[in-house]
Amino acid sequence: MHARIPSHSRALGPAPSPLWPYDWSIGLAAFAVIGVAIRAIWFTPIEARQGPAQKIFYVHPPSAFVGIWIGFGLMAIASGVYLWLRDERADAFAESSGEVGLVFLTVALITGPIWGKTVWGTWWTWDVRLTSTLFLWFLVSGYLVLRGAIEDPELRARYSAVLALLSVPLMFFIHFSVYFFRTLHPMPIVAKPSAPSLPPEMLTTFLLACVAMIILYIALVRARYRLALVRAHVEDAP
Amino acid sequence: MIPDNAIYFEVAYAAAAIIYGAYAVSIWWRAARFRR
Repeated sequence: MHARIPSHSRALGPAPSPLWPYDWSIGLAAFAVIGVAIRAIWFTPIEARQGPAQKIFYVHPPSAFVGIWIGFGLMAIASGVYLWLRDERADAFAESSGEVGLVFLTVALITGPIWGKTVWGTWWTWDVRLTSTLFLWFLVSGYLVLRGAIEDPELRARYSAVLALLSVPLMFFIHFSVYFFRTLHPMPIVAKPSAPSLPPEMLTTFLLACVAMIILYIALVRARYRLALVRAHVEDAP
Repeated sequence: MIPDNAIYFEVAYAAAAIIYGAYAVSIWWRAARFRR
């Protein structure tokens, strides 16, 4: 039996200043992302068969990885923590991570078809990998719409936490779909049991891009979490 | 011969920059609404 928290915002701690939601991490993220873009554009070799369009590789997979496995993964973990402990900080973090993860997945879903047009000759195909990823995008969008539709904070947190946990099987399905089904989408060339199938310069740029995207995710989630705290205090104000 | 398709990665990078930048601004904008 969990103790019912009388005030929604009291459990979240003091309200941060709404004047500026960002801190030093957004500067670090901008520096990292711009630095990686410069390295990818001017200091990483062009792939001979695909041409310069292959440089989409340094934004599409890192965005998908951070969106799905970090953004939605931490959303699901925080939702589980909320259902277990009824800690409203976990609910606020789940909302923040889910929203930021959706932005990363949106970038992946837009840059993927641009790359696909050059290597497959088509913007989109309804194969298992692409379709299930689009379905995950709609699922998390529904999670955010649900949160906006329920006014009671406790009901909102409980219902949305269950929905967030339902995204977990789909995340694993998306990752393994390229092994189980015939799909146009290539198999992993870095996250696989054997050594990555990339020249060292490209692999270094790719790993740096992943690090830069993780820093960007941290900066955006920190700001979005502060916004959730400010909103909770405004909602509870008499 | 290397294909001449740099426009695709330029558009992809620009789209990513616009989406991430717009989202960062949206957080600031929503916080500013609470300030008002």
